[in-house]
Amino acid sequence: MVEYELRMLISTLRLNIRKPTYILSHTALILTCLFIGYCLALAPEYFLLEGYPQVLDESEATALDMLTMLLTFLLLYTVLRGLFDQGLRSYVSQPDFSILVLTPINSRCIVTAKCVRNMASRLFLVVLTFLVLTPISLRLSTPPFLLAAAILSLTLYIEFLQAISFAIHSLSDAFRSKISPRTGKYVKIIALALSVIVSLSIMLSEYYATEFWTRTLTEGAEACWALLPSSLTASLVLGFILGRAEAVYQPLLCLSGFLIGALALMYLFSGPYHTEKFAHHPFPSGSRTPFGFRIGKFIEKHLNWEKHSLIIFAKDLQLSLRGALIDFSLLDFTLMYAVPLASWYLLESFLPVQTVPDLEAKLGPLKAFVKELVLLFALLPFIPSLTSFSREMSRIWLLKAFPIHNRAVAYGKFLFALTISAASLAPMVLVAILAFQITLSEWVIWLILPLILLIANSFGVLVGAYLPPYDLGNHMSLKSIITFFVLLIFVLAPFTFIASVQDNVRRVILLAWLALYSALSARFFLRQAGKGFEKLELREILPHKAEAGDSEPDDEPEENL
Amino acid sequence: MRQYAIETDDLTKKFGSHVAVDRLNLQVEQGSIHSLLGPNGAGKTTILNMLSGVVKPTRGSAWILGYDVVKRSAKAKALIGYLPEQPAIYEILTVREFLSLVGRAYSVPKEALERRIDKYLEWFDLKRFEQTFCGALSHGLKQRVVVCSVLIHEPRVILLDEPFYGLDPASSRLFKEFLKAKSKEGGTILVSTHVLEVVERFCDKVTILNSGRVVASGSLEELKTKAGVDDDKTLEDAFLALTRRRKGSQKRLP
Repeated sequence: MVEYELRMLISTLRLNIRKPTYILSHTALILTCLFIGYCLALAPEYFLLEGYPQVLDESEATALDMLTMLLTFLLLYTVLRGLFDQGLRSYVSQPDFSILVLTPINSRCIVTAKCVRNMASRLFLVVLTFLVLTPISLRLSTPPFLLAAAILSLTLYIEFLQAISFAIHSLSDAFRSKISPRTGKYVKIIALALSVIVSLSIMLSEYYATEFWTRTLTEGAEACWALLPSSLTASLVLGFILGRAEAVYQPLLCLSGFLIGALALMYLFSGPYHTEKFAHHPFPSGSRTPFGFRIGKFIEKHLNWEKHSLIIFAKDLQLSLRGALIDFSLLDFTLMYAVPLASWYLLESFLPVQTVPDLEAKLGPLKAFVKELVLLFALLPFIPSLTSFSREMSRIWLLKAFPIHNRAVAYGKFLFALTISAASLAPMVLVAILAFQITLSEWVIWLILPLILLIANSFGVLVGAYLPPYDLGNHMSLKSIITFFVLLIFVLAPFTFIASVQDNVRRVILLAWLALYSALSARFFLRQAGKGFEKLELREILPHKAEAGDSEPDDEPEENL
Repeated sequence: MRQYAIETDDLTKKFGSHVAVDRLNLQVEQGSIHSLLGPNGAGKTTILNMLSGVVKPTRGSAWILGYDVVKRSAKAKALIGYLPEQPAIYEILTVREFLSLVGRAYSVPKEALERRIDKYLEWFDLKRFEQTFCGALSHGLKQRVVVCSVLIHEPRVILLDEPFYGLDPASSRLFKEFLKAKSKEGGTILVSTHVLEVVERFCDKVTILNSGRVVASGSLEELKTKAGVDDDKTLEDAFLALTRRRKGSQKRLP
């Protein structure tokens, strides 16, 4: 089974390599990574090179903790939402899945093979890591074995994330198979309540510090923090940057141990899997989630618009809110933001960072960098707009058959994506405000964010109309990467000018220009998206399913990395 | 002003190098029930998809009651009720919500919409399911819901792709009676089906397709004459005779 999966991966790669677009885009990606590495080496203030060594003379904790924190976020994100979903989708959404579940191959083999396939496909990230780290290594003249150790640690960490996502799914499904759906629901609610209580306790302990809290959280957090795989990886990457050769093997061994442990967990708990789990339906027959039902009724009653774009918007909102409540993705969503928020408080309140003298001054360069990152946060929620049309799946016939102008459909989709992205950006902004003390006086950021949302969402709808199916589960798909880079480099590039302007009058003029640029670009993108929707055909949205047509051309191979 | 309710002029659709529909010239009279008949892969669904605006033609034109389906697509679509072969619907909308969505998309006034929803739910025995999620319904019930959604804006042209598949005999008969009544009122129905008995008893005219091209078109008697089969033979004999001519000798069981 593993051999079959790896052969499929190689076959896909062979088919893709024949395509000029694949070669071209991957060459561009590789060159971009080299460029990023080169820029990081040339502009070290963004990468803890010159800004931090003098800080590290006093305390190495700051830089190490910051890097660890970034990697821990990745771990948290992985566990809570990202690869959590991807792990499941990677074997359920495969085109061969419906065939595999009918064969006598046991579930353990299927899950293991899919996990190995995913891990193998992630090796491409190692190449990208190599391309980014090599220029830095050349600039800093670090020993080659430290570069190798850094790359190996990142590889082990990436593979660990992949394996742990499968392990968590196997574990949770094994657990779910033992309990009734009703008990499962209660467990989820209790888990949510506990998360909220813990988060609140941590926040409140800031103001009502007691000996118990300080002792428990400080000692516990310190012990856990040092043992996290992200901490181990961060220590090795920092060792590479600082040219420190000591303590390389021990973290590498620990990381290998984590990877083996995750694989063992996945293997152990994938046994009780049943095909019924794969065919899980979001709602059982006849069930009505009372709250979700009421939300739908509310929208039906109060958002009963007649304008076509608003009908599409209200429909998407109704489906999304109700869907989120039914399949508990709202819970995932809440956890995704609640846990990082709690982690920030943990870090700021209890970890050794607090003991560093003149912390604020030393955090200065990093904070400046992260403030700019806030703009990048705005890019994350534009993702829902990418799936505007792909989310319709086989129901696209209905939208196409409606006597609604194509542009109105695109506007409806855009309005929905804008609403969702603005709502999901709010917690990120909250995190940024709390963690980095961004004040209202930094008004440029707050004025730029809506413009970025406007332009990013309209661009997302355009991409969604021309490049279906858009699979958000596969973040490493060629489409995702190309879209991200095109948006970043060509569409959002004019926004970077604002950073270079200090004079308020000039800033206002530039902002007015940016607002005009955003409005015109959004209008252009949405008009083009309307044309794209007109050309969009069912077979493009569902490339693996037979269209409701009589003839079927050959499918294109998947464009996965 | 065009004479026919549905008219096509060299309508062509290509998927890559494959020609699904090849220079189709079809005329369907107003107030008639016209059937598209053909083996698998003949292009029937693609024709309906093009007429309904779901798929854009590669070449040629089509008109619905005088409106070009590409140039004046919104006008043409407003006159059509389209039932595809595999209708996918929003599973987490209730039956009433789904019908309401379709009605509003077709700009049916609010009061009329509520009235019609109640009427069709009653007709197709769906009243007790009106607050049930569409996803929780069986295939046959879903098909009934989609049939209701096709009729909710009272279209003047109805395009049906295998419409009776999944319907129970009572619903199927009710739907047929409704369609016959509709055609008598001046409504036009274009139906694609494999069930030859339905065509014989239900349709006024038939167009037989093969590999995206029209093989023959006309009333049942005209088709039998074209096929060179006796009057006492069935449509199946005429169909096989006409499609066999293009495909060569008929395959026999070993």
